Amino acid sequence: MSSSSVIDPTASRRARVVAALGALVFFGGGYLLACRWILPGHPHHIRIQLLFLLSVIVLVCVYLVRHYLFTFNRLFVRPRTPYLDVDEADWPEVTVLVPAHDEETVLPRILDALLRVDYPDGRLHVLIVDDRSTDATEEIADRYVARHPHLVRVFHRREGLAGKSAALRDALERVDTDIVLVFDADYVPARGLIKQLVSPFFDPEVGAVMGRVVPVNTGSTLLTRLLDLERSGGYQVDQQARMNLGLVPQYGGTVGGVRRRALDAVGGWNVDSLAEDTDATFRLLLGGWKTVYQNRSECYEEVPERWPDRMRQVVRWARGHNQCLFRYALPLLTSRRVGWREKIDGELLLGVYLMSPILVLGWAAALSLWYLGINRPDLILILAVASYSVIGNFATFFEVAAATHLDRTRQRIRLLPFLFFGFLVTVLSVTAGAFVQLAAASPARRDFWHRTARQGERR
Amino acid sequence: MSPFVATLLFASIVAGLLVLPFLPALREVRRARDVQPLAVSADGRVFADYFAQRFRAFVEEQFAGPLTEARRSRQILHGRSDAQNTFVALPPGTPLAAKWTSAHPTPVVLSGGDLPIDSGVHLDREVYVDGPVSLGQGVHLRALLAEGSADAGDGLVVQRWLHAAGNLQIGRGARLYGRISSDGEIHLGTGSCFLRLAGRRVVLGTIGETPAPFLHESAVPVDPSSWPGFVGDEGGRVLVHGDLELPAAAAIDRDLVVRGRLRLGPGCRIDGSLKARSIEIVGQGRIEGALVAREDIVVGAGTRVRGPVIAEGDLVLGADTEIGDRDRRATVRARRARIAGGVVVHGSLWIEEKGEIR
Repeated sequence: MSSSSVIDPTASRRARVVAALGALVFFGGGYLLACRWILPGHPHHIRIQLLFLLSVIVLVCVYLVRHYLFTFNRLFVRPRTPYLDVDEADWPEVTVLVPAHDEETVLPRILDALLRVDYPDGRLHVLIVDDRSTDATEEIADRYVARHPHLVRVFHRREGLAGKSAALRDALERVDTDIVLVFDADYVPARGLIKQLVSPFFDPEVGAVMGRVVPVNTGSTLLTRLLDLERSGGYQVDQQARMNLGLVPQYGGTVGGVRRRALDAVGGWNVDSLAEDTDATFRLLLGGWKTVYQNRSECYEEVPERWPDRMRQVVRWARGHNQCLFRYALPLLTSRRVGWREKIDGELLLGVYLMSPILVLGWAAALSLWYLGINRPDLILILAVASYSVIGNFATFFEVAAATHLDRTRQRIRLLPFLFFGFLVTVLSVTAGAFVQLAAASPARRDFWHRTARQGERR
Repeated sequence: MSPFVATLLFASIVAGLLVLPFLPALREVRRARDVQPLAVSADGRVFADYFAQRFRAFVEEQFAGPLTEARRSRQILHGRSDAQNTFVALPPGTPLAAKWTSAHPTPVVLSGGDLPIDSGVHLDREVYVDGPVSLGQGVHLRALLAEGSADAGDGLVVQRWLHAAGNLQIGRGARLYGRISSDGEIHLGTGSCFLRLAGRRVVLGTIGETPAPFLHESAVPVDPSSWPGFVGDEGGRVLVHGDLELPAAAAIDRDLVVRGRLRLGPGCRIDGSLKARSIEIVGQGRIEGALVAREDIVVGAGTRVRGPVIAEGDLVLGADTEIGDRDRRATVRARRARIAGGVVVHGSLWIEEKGEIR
């Protein structure tokens, strides 16, 4: 099956028509507005630029409202955790996939943790997906299989496309359980985490589950401390607010899992995607399956400690995300299986990495208009305030501050002003990545492994 | 003031305002005070008897000697543990009377064997009983761990938790504000309120003498594709938009997800799980999987559900409903629950606000 199996062709045509009509109304109406009332008598290219600038301001304001909505929801609404209390059940068989590519430093740690988890005997299976490792990963995996043959298996993958999504797709063919959890090799699951992540699958509408990842190397550098704040905002506020509001929590590819028959029904892992997790989230959504976020299902991860690593990571996410935007934005609009609230949130989620280049282009348009003699300080002021509100201060800072308040880690909030520089780096990296992506002639293919350098490997 | 000075002053104020928030930030960078990763539990498991387990470990660590001594000497012992925790240790069979408890304001009460607690006793402290315990009527407890069975009269009040290693019998009109658990069975009388119950088998109210007829045995399969809101049937699941009402004795052999309200006529049989905005099962149905609703769930009398029941709103369980079975334990979770007599749950009930047995 292909990823297009969830995209209804008739709905897709309808989506294109709806999108075209919407764009026509928006831009045509805006253009007329600009001609008649805002810039009467100005040349055509100036009106176009002004219209673009106004559109950017509208978009920025939409994201601004979204940030506030999520933050207020988390501050004033009780978190929705319907599955967390499920402690007694006929627990289904589950397979934990551990994708590993040169993971000799961390693999024993996660395998030891998985051997200790609280799950009924005979119902938990661990499959190490060793994809062309060149270090001691293969020997370590074989050693654990020899010691625990009833629990641990290994799939030494030597051919086919490289990369996590391709490895996961091939590994799924060797799995015969309906529930599949995925943990990257550098994660350490707590004893109760498997049950917590399996419990939402008792809900037949749930196709994927996502837990919360928590940076473990917080104290390493200023960057890790900033990423810790950013992750708090992203999970404690964004993801949980989406869960509370019945929107679109995102499956993140690790510390989570999927229902295999749901994934099969929507085409399996998409090896053509740079972000197989986001791709799976949206294909499941289009197939009528929900993704659930469990804020209390926490697991430590290592975050990048150096700015170049971080920039590469963000660019990779942005490219994968933008791929999903172009692939699923239109089908999402007219899907019969998706409610209107999920549609709005899904579209905004898809467009989140496009906002950086749009913002940069908005500023370019503002400057251009200025030098063309369209001296409208009001527009520039509005854009400045809106931009600052979204990436600089109010909304995002508010969100992160609320997250630290909810996490009861209030001292680290002093670092909040430094987030401005972090966001600035993100905006520039994502913008550069987006233009490179647009300029690339060939379709992106994920045929390589992206790993964050582990602490032991750097020293 | 000259324009130059004014400009300089203005620029300085603006720069100061910009720099100001960075001062505590720079201080935090130079002298980090909050660099520990967010605390993540290394265990993360959910136990109904979590507090009881911790208390048992505490007693074993601190009071093993006094308990043995009280059993041997058959004397009431007062004292402090090595960690300076005060206790009173009772020999087996020594009853606790209201007069006694007011005279011994000690934080931990230990009993070396069986313990009778008289009616009307208020115990605002933790109690450890190394054997069975019997409680009279109207007893108020903060927390109690019995290593044997526990038998309580009417009007029991528990503030925090109660755990019995054996069976636990609680009379009518109990007010159970914390976690009530047993390694065996729990029987809870009518008119009681609770939040969290967990046992091998939890019986709420009195089981009816006449078992409900099994209408679902004559259920006939229905074709979902003929339903008005039918959207799709893939991945072992039927998806329906809008409301759905199934006729009596309808049978479905897979999961059913309804985006609106779902009503099942009497005697329906679902060989899968159900999810809907709200669910009403008229009665005597049979659900092989889970019941999940964003809002309320009403389960009619005599229905059997084999999987977990999760209602984000209110839950009503009709008389003689059975959740889970001897081999398939289950969890019942709801915001509020109203439960008729004779309901049996093989597992646990977690009610956020109030569960009541009528």
